[in-house]
Amino acid sequence: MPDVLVRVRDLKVYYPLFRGFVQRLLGGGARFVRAVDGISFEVQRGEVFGLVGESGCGKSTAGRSLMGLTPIEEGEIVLEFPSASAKPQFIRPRELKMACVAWWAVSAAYLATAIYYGVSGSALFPFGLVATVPGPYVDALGIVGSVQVLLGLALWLLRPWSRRPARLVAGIGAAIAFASLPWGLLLFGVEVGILVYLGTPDPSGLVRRQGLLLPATKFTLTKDGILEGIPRAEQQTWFERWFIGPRTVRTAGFSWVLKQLRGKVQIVYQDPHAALNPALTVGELLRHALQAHAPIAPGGTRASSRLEEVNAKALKLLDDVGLRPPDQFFAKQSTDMSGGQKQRVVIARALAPKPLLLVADEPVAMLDMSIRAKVLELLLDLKEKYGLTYVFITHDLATAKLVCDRIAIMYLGRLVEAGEARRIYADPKHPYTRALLQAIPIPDPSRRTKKELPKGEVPDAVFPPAGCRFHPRCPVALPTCGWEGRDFLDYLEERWIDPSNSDEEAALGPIEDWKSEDLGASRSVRKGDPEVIVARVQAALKEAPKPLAEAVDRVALELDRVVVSFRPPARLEPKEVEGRIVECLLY
Amino acid sequence: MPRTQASLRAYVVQRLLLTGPMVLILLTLVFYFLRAAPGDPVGAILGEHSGPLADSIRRQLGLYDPLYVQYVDYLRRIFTGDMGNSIITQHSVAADIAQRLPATIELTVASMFVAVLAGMLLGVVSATRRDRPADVISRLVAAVLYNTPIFWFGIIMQLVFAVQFRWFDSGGRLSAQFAIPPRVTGLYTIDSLVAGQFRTFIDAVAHLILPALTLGLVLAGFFARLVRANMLQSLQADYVEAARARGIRPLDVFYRHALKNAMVPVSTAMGLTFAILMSGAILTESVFSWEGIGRYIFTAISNRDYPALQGAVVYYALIMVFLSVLIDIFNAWIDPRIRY
Amino acid sequence: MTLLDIEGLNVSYASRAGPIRAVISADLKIEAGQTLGLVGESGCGKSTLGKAILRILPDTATVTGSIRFAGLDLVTAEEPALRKIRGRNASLIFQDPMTRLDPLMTVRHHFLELIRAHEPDADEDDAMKRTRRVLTAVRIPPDRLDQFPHEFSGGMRQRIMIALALVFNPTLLVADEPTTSLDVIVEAQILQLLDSIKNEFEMGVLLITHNLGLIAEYAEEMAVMYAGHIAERGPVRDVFKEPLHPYTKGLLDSVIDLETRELHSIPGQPPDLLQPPSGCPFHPRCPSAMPVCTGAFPPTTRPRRDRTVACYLYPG
Ligand code: SF4
Ligand code: SF4
Repeated sequence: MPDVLVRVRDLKVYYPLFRGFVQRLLGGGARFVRAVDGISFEVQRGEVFGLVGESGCGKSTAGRSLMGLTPIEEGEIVLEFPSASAKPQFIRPRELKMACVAWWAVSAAYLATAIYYGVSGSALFPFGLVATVPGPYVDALGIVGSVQVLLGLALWLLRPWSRRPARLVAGIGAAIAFASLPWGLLLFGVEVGILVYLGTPDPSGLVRRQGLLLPATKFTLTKDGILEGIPRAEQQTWFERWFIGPRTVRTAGFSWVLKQLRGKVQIVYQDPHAALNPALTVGELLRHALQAHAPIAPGGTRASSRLEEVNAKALKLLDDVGLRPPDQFFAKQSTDMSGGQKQRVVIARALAPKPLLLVADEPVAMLDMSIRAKVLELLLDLKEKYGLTYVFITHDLATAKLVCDRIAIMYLGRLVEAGEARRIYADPKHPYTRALLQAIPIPDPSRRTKKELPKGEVPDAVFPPAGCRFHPRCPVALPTCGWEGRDFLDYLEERWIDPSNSDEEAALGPIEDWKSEDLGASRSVRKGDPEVIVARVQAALKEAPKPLAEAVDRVALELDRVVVSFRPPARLEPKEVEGRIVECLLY
Repeated sequence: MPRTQASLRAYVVQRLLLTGPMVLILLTLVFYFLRAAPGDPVGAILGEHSGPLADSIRRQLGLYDPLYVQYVDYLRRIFTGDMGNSIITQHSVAADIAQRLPATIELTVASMFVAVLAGMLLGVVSATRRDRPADVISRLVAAVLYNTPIFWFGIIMQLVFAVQFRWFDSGGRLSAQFAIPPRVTGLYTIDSLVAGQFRTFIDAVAHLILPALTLGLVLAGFFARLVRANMLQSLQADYVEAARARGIRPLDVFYRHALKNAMVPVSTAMGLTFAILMSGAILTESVFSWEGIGRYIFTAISNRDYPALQGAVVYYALIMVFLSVLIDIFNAWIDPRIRY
Repeated sequence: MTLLDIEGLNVSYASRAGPIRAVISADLKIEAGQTLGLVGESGCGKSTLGKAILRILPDTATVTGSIRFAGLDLVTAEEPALRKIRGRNASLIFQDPMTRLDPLMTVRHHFLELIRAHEPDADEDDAMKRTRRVLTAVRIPPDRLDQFPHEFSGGMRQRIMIALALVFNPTLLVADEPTTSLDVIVEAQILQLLDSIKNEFEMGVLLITHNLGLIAEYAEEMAVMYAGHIAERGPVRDVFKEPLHPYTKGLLDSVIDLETRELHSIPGQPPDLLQPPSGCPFHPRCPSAMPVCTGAFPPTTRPRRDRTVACYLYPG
């Protein structure tokens, strides 16, 4: 049994920013929100792993990426689960096969008619629909017939995977058939039948017509989609091997791999009010979840598709999450319940497919203080009972301290400190971790202290700061931490808030006249005396915080601009410090 | 914090650059739909015969050329302003349209005025008196107006105000006893004022009232619903409550915050409304014998006068594009978030 | 000096399912230069109480009782008089700064509008001078006055809201969950700012929050609300040291902080506002409930100096 359930390596998740196309032409291509920008961590079996940070630090994105819900820009996630049964399950999609045969029969009739007319010139149409058949229509019949045969073949070959491409093929067929009216009417009927069949929601949820389902145990999520561990060459159809290769199954279109993954990894969201469909009763909600992921028995029927069994399971789940008496809650509408009760239903639903990993994204943040503890306790109990592993996402370090075995603290897409929770809380190493811990309000009026808070707010993840991303706010930053042009401008702007510096503002301002480019900031000297400007800048730098001032390489006149340039930052790498990983130049 | 000052100018440039492709797509669609429509113009004129005469006309009209040649030719003609000649009257289509365009503009502007005024009034009244009698009544009025067939409404207006009460004439743009004012803009109301003929102006306005009311009121129904929905939303917005908490006078809160914010979606919808207005103009102009483009299109359709129809539709399309650009820029001007 | 004196305040909303009593005979007092923390869980009526002070509740609300402030009874005062008070003598800041500024208006306009609303003949230079002064107090660069709200971060918007509240040196500031949508560090920044401004401007502050930690750090007096009632009132230090009301005890126990070792919570669910439990609304969840608790609402008593409690455990 593997001890490491999840292994994340150098994961980067970027979301494209929507920009007008002209802006893109002018502004140098697409821009991205670097939600997660190169993080690595491992989650052990049976532990509670905390991802902690402020909003916009990428913790939720990181959690969601474990479910294959986000695009991956770089890096990989490997999830390895112990396998329940190693035997692949085959299902015979008998009805679809029959439908395909019917399709071919009609296409063949088409072709035969065309050939017949092609040979014999003109005669009575066999079905007596039309007396004479003009020449071009015979050609059309032949073409349509051949295309339909090919489409039938495509349908046959696509049948093992998913409904969506099959539906597309059948749709194209139906459209062609319809276009060749009136001869296509019959064909059209058959194809619409297939469409309807493919389109009908499966009463048991999962795609029943899939050719084979394998209990996958290892999933690798990368830029190219989900690579899935188990299917060995001999268990694939020749078409799979031919077109898709032995192991890769892309996410798009081949949703069953994703479904398999979702059966193993489930998520509990922050807002229980939004997560539950208000039109359904609790029982219905759970039934849907149970049926969608029920194991499939050979022959295509579900082991547990019988209603009583499903209901019994749903009741058991309700009992497990502490909604008692379960039968009373079973019939309730979720709108009639309090936030805490709703969140329990959400948890029950997440447990329905018997997941091994539960991503809990701020599960108690929306709940009232007096019931938070209950829900946290429940989550911890369920972990023991169901043998779960948690990835617990939160902004609240105090909660994380109570429930997590190991934590990773994120800032602006990076992991700044990660390791055993006990050690980190006892002695936080990273300045950001310290700041976070200090900011937590202490519910004890006799211990009021003045807090030394980092200034400013989390910067925009589209343009993260150079070097260490925390440097503009870090109270103990060094000159090598990544100071750059815009830090200088922010400093000036902050300085000019005080009216006492207004003469400096008059000489150097307004701030719009300055341009910042990576390591430099510059200003045209057309307005004002260059000597004075340089002198003023140097005077301002003298009063600047030490690390910023010391990071300045030079202040110089270049052509008609005054340029303040900074030295390049030192390389920043995660280091092992006293039993945890820290990413900071202090160590 | 990066300073990405959104500039209105950049937005306008971008919007104008996008207009080129948009016009091209629109023109292509017009071309395609007119070609795909059943029947062909020559058959329409000569009946279903296909003799040498029809053949020669078809050749002359270029109907035997490959489609792409026809398409290129079509675009070339549009950009040189040559729309061909009407099959029926043999006049130049461009000249015909230029002559009628002012009439349509006069009608459309007047109806838009009516529509916006009445629609805003109804919408604001019902939003501010939500669920009270005034709201119920104005919603009812709006619903009735919105669902009234325009030609029927026009005929009723004629029957009531022109035939029964004889307050207005039932059609035309000017009474017979007045001479058409010297052409400056082609809008009789403005031209007559320019020429200082005050009584002609009164007469032109009197003729404008019925068709403008017909078209405008039907649209007002649409506006009223839109304004009401958006007002309700913005009246409940957080910043409205915050403004109230700062002691801003209710009237100021209403105009400066609620109404202005509600106007953004409304003015977007106004662009769409122009499309409705244009199609409404066809019916209205027919009912009121208003010699504008709408009536021109109507006659062209009944006569299957393809060049005339094509020319008029192209004009409509270009006007629509122009208006939508105007409205987008207007929106960007009031709402800075659109620019970025 | 008593700045704000609320007595027997009732607020109820008309709804299709009958009246919802959001605040029930509440008594509160705020002294000048003091922060009163009003704490309670969602739906307990604390926000309604805050808005009732400035009388900006929706039309469906009915207010009775008395709110004495600046020589007026705000419950009976007429709209024009109230308008002079709002934003001038008393200001309100809200939970979600992202939606509280008009997106179509520059920051400069927000200030101009406010100043002109109260002083119609103020000239622009003077107005801008005042604006710069308050922006300096909240550390917002005045050169960003011509930007629109969406160009600021959440913390900065809340600072702008605070600056707007300070323009006229109000004597009372009602802060309704001012930091709930902000991150911890920014939350602490904003509250420290509020604290220093309170001293600088000598305001009374009503800090409405669900977070007991904030009360402990920033308030001197506190009141606990449950289902529309004020359950307990007193100096923060005393209440934290010796909570009297069982609900206050439960609430203090369920706070999770860095020193929490065991999880505690209050059994049961928050009350349904449409059909609140009879008598003491806390009785279905109360560990010390007695038969008498289901009858009538307990009288408010004064078992310790400066403390009041509404619970049968503390008879007169
Ligand atoms: S590297 Fe360390 S010291 Fe430097 S800015 Fe980052 S956190 Fe601060
Ligand atoms: S009055 Fe009774 S139920 Fe209410 S808090 Fe006191 S003891 Fe508990």
